[in-house]
Amino acid sequence: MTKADPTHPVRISSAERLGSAFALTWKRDFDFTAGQLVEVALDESGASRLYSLFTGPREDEAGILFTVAEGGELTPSLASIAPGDLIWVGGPSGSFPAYSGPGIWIANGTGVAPFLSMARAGLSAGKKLLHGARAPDDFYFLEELETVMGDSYLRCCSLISADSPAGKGIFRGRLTAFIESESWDPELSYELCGSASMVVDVRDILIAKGVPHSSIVSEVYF
Amino acid sequence: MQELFGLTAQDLIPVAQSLSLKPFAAKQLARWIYARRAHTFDEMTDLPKEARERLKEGFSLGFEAPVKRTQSADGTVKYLFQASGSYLPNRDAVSPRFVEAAYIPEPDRRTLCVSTQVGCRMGCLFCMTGKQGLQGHLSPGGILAQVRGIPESEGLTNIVYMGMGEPLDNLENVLKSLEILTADWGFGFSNQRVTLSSVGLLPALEEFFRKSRVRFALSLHSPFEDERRSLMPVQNVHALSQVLDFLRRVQARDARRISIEYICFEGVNDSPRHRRELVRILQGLKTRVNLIHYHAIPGSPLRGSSEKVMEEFQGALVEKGIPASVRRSRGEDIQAACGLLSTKELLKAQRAETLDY
Repeated sequence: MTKADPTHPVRISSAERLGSAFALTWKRDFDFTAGQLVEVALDESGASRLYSLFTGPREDEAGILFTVAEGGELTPSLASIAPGDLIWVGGPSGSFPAYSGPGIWIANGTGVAPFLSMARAGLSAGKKLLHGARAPDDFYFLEELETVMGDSYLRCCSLISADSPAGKGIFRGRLTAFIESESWDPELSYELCGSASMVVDVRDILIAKGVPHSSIVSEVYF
Repeated sequence: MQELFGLTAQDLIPVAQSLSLKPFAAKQLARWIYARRAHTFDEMTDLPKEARERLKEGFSLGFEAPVKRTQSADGTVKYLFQASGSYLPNRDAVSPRFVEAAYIPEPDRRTLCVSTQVGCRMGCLFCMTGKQGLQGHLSPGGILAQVRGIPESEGLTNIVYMGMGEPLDNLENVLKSLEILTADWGFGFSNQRVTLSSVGLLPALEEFFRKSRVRFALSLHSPFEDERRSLMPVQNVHALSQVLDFLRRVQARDARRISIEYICFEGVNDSPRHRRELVRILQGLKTRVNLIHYHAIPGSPLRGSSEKVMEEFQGALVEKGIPASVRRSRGEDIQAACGLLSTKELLKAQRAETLDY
């Protein structure tokens, strides 16, 4: 396999709606490491954006997870892509670290994608995954993550009623509220992925709780 | 009313045509708006009277003045601008958003530091603006209102894109604003008097160098990629080594002026080890390093390096043949009063309803 650079067309093999997100996959024709990104466009000269791969590096398929950005140049059209359609892909690039050993993964929304890829790559031993979402439907690949990570997979949901059956095992409240309510081991590594607001807020809380900034690595949606 | 402020000469061609004017009249119109700083359409005496009347009926020349002014003891002035309406397109802001511009007078120059976004999504550890997240992209008019709207506007000699936001994350609007700033029909600034500073978003950086001739400054802040990661999340996406390789290729094809911004953090990036590595990674790049005092922000684990350490750092770079200077700290006494903190609190209250975590 080779590096998928420069951007080239791939044919979509699956297009799935997952809560408020969309998952697209295509036959993988490049090598990558868990946590890396690809550049995606609808055609050769159109607007492109970077997305973390959610699939594992040894799988036959490569895939991305995204939500529609209101007024966005790419995602409203990307959301209507169907199996058999072409999209343009470049990369992989980036170096979001997949540290082995104990650590905390923290994500909001589709920021869970690189951690899912790492879990599929067998890198979840000793890790705890905290995932924040507004609605219960937005815990993507829930069953898989519960199976792979067991009790080390913790969900925080801000919009869930107390009597909702979907609420079992969920912290009712924001991810930041959960992190604020716990103590955190300063010896562990902390890897954050998601919106800039989440990353900045969580990083501030962890630092205030004694985690050295050098132990926190973040990837922000650009 | 369509607002004309912020439109390029090209954008003004349909306006001219709608007034039954020839396309070249778009440049006349642009020259009145920017170069001659017209306040009314009546001043545009080289346009037919009928066209001026129709301009009054359907168009506005307006730009917003700042809503707040804070002056430092050292003469630096911070201006707060409200960003709404056409300045913040694609954003139905219920509550006001704000951006800042800093006017920095010095004996040999009068510089304005402008913002390009409301908030920022780069999430740099040392930056106060990043704590707002990204609230929106400023339009060209929203960026240039900062230049036109301050009382010192006509005396400005230099413009730096180093305020709130990552300029290359708002590339299309920033490029239009740069065109208006530097065109002869625009504000007429020399390309050598305008500097854009960025964390180094690679695809956008390539387009910037293709389409603009203004100076470039890279926010570097640590020569070690693993350490830079914890200061600047962009490192995980666009590695410093790739950005520097790209800048070397740019300089190989044209003699573009590139500088390095390096904020000195005590015990984090100011050691002899950092100096040596900085010298090593800058090999082959013709550049100047600006060492910057850190204005600490509340709750930050980072502290600024001492004067002595910064001078030693500077001396070590110069000794190895890299021009370096320590940028004088300006306006430190008005940081807390500049409105950013209150803006942040306001925005935090607003976005509590829209967070997705």
